[in-house]
Amino acid sequence: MLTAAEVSALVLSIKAASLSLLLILAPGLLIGWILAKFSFPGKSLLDTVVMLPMVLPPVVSGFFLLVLLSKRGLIGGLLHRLFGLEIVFSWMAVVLAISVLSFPLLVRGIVTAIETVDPQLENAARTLGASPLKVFFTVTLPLSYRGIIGGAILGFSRSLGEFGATMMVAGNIPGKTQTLPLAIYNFVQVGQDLSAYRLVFLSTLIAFATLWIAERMYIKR
Amino acid sequence: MLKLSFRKRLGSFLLEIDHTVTEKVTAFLGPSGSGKSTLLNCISGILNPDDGELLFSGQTLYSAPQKKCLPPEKRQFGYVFQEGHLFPHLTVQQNISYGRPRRPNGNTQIDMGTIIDILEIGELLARYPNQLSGGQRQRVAIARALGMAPRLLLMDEPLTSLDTGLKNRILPYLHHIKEAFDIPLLYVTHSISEVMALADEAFLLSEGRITARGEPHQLLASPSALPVAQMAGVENILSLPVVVASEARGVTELALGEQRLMVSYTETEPGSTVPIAIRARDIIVALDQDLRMSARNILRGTIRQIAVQAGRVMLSVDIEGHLLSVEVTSDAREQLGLAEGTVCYFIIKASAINLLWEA
Repeated sequence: MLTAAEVSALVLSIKAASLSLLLILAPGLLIGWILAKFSFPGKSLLDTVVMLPMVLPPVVSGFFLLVLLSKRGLIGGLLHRLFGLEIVFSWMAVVLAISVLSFPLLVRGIVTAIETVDPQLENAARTLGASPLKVFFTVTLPLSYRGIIGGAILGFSRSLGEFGATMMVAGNIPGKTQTLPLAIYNFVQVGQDLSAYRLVFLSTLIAFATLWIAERMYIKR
Repeated sequence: MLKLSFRKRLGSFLLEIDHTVTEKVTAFLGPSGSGKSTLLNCISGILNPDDGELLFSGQTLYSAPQKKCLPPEKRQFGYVFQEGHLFPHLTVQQNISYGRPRRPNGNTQIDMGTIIDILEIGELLARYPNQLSGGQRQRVAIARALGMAPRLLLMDEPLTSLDTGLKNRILPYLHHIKEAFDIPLLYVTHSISEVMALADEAFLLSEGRITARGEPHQLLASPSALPVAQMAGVENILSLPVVVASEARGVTELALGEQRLMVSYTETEPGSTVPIAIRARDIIVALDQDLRMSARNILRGTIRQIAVQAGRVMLSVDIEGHLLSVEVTSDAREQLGLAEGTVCYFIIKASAINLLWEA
């Protein structure tokens, strides 16, 4: 069976990924909607900034986060002064790292899903007296939720697998910031092959299941 | 009532309108690409004009000088789209209630039950749009637009996507709506018969501009309607009064001055006018009247003008004050010695006369 260290890595990973999804879903919907529906100056800049973590080396993203979140950083300093929070090397750093890294996947899924909705249906709703916000919640969202869930699942699996950025900004502290991939790396380093195998198997199983569900979401329309 | 004075450019296409709509039912007639949908989209607020202004009963919908633009949801204009555009995730009941105002907005005569009755969609309320036939879908789309108690009803070729049989079944519903509700109706179409059937006033739209306007029967019988008539492949459009409608004989007799024109029976009241269309090449010219033949319509008239264009000989013929176009071959013209001023007989099979209006 799983050892205590393995269980804690698994639990932390799932908790952090779930929390991250809760954190980024609303902003993801907002930015996805803006990117799908509006054209404005600076749109491609916004698109590029949001998508950047998808192509940057995760370690580089992690480095940026470290600079921003440290006690002397722009955001970290503010949070420290206001709430006495220390983000770096805490579970919060794990959540933030995987949020930034999975955000592009989520937004991509949402943009694609929203773009599949016939704009004429949204126009029809407008003529029937619905404000743009009401149109979003009564027409756009119900007609695109499958794609949105698919995007959320992909983002969630990306979160579970995040390694480089988490390592940079949260460290690799067993029982505190050691997620599933970090634990696997550790077990291999110290020669605990059996533990590594068990976690690799679990990771593969989770990845397979989530991807399979996401695919079904996209296909079944 | 509705003042349209604006310009809208879409690519190389320019829509330029400067007219006021005053009648209860107004039709914009034009071929596809003439700007009909762009016009409706500008009125509904889905598109914004580039310049000019739009006023409805004194209220500014759009004004370039005042930099004012009322969003579509604030205009309260019902819009029936060509393809219906029903919400696929909602039932018929939910679709037709979507635009229902939370508080009555003055148009209290519009009762949901009445709408459902008139459009006969009571049986369909629990269904989803993909479980409806084309005609049912269009009726639900009309009900949805009426359900919002609109101040103006816009219709974009509401019958075009339907086949002829269905068209003739939906048209009476539109008649009922016209009579039952006090809502001005503005619709665009490329079908002459739809205009004839419903409109109090018609506008001819061609390449983004209004080329003529008037009462439909007069407008379509006037030379300005020629482009539209030709678009429909019909050169002669006449509005004639009914003398006798006999179901037993299967004919309706129309008066062309002192002469009579027989068409297939249609249920009409004597005295009412019926619009008909005849193609120029469906009229036969004869010099004698006493031929023995089956065609019932032999009309006497005078050739006023002969024009030759692209190998076709077109005669402009005066029959009791009505001008008709008749097409003959140049052989026939020579052999019969047709000239301006020649009096001849024009033979038309009853089946070659199309009624533009089906009761």
